[in-house]
Amino acid sequence: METNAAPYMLLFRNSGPENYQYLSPEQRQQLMARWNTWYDDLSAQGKAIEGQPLELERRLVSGIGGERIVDGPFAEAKEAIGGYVKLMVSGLEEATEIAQRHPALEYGLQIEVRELTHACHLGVQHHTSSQLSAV
Amino acid sequence: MARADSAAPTADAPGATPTLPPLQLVEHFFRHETGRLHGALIRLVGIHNLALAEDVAQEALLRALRTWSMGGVPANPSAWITRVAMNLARDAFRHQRMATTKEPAIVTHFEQTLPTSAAVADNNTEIRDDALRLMFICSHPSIAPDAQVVLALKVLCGFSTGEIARAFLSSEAAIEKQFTRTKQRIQAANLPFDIPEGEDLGPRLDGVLAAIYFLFNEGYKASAGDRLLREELCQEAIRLASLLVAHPAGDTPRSHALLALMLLTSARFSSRIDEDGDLLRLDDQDRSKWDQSLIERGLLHLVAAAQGHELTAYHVQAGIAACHCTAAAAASTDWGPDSAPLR
Repeated sequence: METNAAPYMLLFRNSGPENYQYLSPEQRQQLMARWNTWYDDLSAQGKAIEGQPLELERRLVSGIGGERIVDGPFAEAKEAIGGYVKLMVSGLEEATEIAQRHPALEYGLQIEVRELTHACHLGVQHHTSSQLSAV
Repeated sequence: MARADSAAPTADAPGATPTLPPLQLVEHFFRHETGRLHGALIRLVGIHNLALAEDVAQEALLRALRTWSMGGVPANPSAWITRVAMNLARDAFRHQRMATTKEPAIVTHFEQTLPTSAAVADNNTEIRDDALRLMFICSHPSIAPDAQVVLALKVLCGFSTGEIARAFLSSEAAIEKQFTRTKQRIQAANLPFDIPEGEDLGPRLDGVLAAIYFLFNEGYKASAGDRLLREELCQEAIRLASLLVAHPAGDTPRSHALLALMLLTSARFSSRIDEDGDLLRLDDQDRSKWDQSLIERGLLHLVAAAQGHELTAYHVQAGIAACHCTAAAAASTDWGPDSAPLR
């Protein structure tokens, strides 16, 4: 891993089951295998740190004291984040190039690329990067 | 952690050894799981609920795709997918019960037979029996032979409508229409989801063998359709026949003869087409390309086929195929003493 690597998040949208319903079982298996290869290659290079799918069930909490709770699923399912991958890479350019190689883009997947800041805006010191270096 | 897979029920605890190679699925896993799920679900919900079983299997497979793409393949993918499918089926039935209040008995039965937590069926006998029951449904005499093959490919082998259409040079709409008609027929005829016994077994087994033979021939005809897919039809026919002979009900000389015939024939697959894609006559084929492991398996089943006194068309054809496969060159083919008319 490069010493000046910084943490980035790839956020996956429009990755719901409906995107793949017209694929044959063989095509689904191939897509899954390509997706895993994409991740495993990055992981072997130390560039992908972790990744995980998110359950489809959602709940939106808002209002003072969390008085408004909206249960999913929502109409705008395409907007929902379906999973994420955390990268350690040289910058936004490299993170974007990695996202561009994703095999599910051809099936409608949308990837948002965001850098993780080292300190949050409330001023609390962030200590994830020191943990990450031990991975 | 190399890859987070905490969403999988059988996943290791977080922090599992990152040096383990990532799990890969066996070839055709999704396709064969579709067939397996259909069998398990139909046993629970009944053959008249075939459409529900299809929807549930489809949804379970889609969830597996989504979760395993992002989270990696769980340690026991079959168990994972079975549990998801069973939960989906139970939810569907609860929903139906609330909507109609007509099937409480089935729901009760269903919940009693649900596999408990981690002990999800990895039971080979059960899987084999479900597959066999499905074979008897797919080859039922009330269904026309070509419809039988589409039904088997869809329900038993997990092919998509698009794949079947490509293999048969047909349109997806035509295949879908035929499949819908077959499903209506099954529902109307109230076919039993069981393995025939006693004197019913013989003729029904002949029906299964005929359907498998038809499936193999559809794949073997190299004249039209997607060649790779058509070879997979042949592989499916061999897989089904292998399941059949492994079951006491299907372990008959004629089943072994059919399996031998298909193994010995498919051993010559890779040599029957030249570089331009044209068919090669047997005399012109490169015999070193023949698949020796398939020939060996075929000859073993031919031995098993010789037990007892049955002599069927499958025996004769398998015998001829064996003559070819064991000859080093076309000229040295040992036709045997009684086979002059075969030359």
